[in-house]
This record gives sequence, C-alpha cells and structure tokens, in this order.
Amino acid sequence: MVLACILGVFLLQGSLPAQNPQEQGPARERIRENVYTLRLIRMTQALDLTEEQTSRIYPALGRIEKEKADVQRRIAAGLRDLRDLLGSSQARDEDLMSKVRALQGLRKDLMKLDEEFERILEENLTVVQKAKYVIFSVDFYKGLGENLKKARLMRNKRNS
Amino acid sequence: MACRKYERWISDEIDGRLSDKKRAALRGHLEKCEGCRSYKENLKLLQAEAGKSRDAAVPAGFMDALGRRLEEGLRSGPVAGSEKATPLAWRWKWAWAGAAVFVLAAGAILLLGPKTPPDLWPASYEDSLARIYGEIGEDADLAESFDQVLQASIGETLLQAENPTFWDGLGEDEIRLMEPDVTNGREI
Repeated sequence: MVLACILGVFLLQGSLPAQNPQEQGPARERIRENVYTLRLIRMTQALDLTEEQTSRIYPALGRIEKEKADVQRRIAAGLRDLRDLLGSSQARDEDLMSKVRALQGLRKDLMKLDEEFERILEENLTVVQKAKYVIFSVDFYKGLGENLKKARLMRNKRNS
Repeated sequence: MACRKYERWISDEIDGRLSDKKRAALRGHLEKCEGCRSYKENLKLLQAEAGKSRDAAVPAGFMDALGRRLEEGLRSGPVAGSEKATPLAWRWKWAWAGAAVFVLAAGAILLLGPKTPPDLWPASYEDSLARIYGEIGEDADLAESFDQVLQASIGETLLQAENPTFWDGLGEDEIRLMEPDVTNGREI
C-alpha cells in the first residue's frame, strides 16, 4: 500500500506545473512541491490509508494542489504588479484598488481550495482517521517549523 | 385645614389656573375669611416684586463668584447630611465599578478566551506554508537548506516505509556515512 502511495506521489509531482523562474522563485516552488510530497507520504502513514482510500483521495488532492500552485503563482504576480504600481508616481486609486481586489479574490480562492481539500478528506476518512488527521496536521505543521530550524543551523554551519 | 386648601386655590388663581367653579367657591370664602384675604394681598405683592426683579441686571463678577463657590463646594466633597450628596457619590462609585467590571471582563477574555496559537493550530495548510515562506523571505541560502531538509525527510520517510527496521540496523558510523547523501536528497 505504501509503495502505491510512493508511486502516486511521484506521479503527482510530475503532473504539477513546471517551475517558472520568471513568475515565482524556483526555490519556493520546489519547497511547495516537497512539502506537499512529504505531507502526503506522512499522512498516508499516520492515517493508515487503505488502497481504496488513496485511489479516491490522491487524484482529488493532486488536482487541488495543482490549482493551488496556480493561484499562488497568480498571487505572486499580482503582488509584484502591486509593488510596481505603488512604486510608480502615476499610480491611480482605481488601478491600485483593482489590484487589491484581485489579490483578495485570489486569497479567497486559495482558502476555498483548502476547504475543498479538507472536505474530500472528511468524506473519505473514518472517524478514527479524522481524529488522527487533526493530530497529524498539528504535528506536521510543527514539524515544518522544526525543519526550518534545522535548515537555519545547516545554513549557518555552511556560512561559518 | 380649610384655609390651607383656599391658600392653594389663591395661588392657582393668581397663576390663572383655577376653574370657574373653584373661583366662585374661593370668592365666597374670601368674603368670610380675613386671613385668606390678607394672604391673597401679600401673594399678589410678592408676585409683583418678583416680576420687577426678573429684569434686574446681575452685578458684575456675580457669575465668576458663583462659579468659584460651586467649584469650592464640589472640591470639599458632599456636605454631611445633604440629601443630594449621596446620589452623586453613588454615581461615581457606579462609574468606578463599571470601569472595574469592564477591565476584568477584557482581561478574562484575553486570558481565558479561545486561544489558537499559530504554533499549535495553524488555520490551514496554506497559512502554515505562508508562515514558512515569510520566515524564509528573500534568504536564498535558507530556502535551499530548507529544501534539502525536506528532501532528506522524504527520503527518510520512504526508507522507513520500505523497511521500518532499516535505520535501526545501522551503526553510528554507517549513519554518519549516509548523512550527506540523505541531506542532499540523493538516492542511497
């Protein structure tokens, strides 16, 4: 089952949008992909997902992740435009407001996709798995913070 | 007792608020009662004097002096036995009590209210990622290091999944030997 999960994860990674340095930092994009992969593998283990569950959950989560990555790129582009607009001396209120509204809309889209992710899990998990998912999420988010601490130590060691 | 009633009626008549029926009864009483006739005359005189004083000018400095006296009176606190001092004091007490309740309520909400510390329960996966991105900022070195740590974590998790006892079977030296490969995300 876990092997199927691993295979699924790498297939999904291949289906994610290619990095585009012009639109967003490639490092950030790669981080996003790796966080997603790690999350999926750890979630599969922590929740002990069956093959039947993974066959329903993975494709939906893959699609959502793809859409989220796309929204994130548009947010990054929108922020860049907004910065440029603020920097220019001829920025009109209407232009600024339209950029702000567009960004607010994209942020909402992102939140909706997050909610859809949770809803798919909600529909496909058992009660015990749902309970485990809550604990898993907290641990995973904490783990990301710890990974960042490790990364800081690595960087400091490299730079010293 | 009867005269007291007529005295009230006399006052009402001077103010023009007495009914015809009562006025007739009052006239009958005044014809018989010298005390009430005298009372009516005095009251009329008093009213005439009051009317004159309405137009009298207030002496210069009177308002200032009155203001000072009022301030002094307020500063010296309520007069003992004064019936009006108590409500004022109570008003202050209620104001302080209200302020105290407000401060306590605000404190209770802050201390005991629902807490969602970001470290413990981030709102969502995206918020969690956004926080990580925020901490990395423009630091390319940190981004690269973080990515390496992530890849190592993925590799480690996959290895454990394939062979849960794989790492348990390794010695310290072997682990140290493999560490750079895992850290760099290379296949072992």
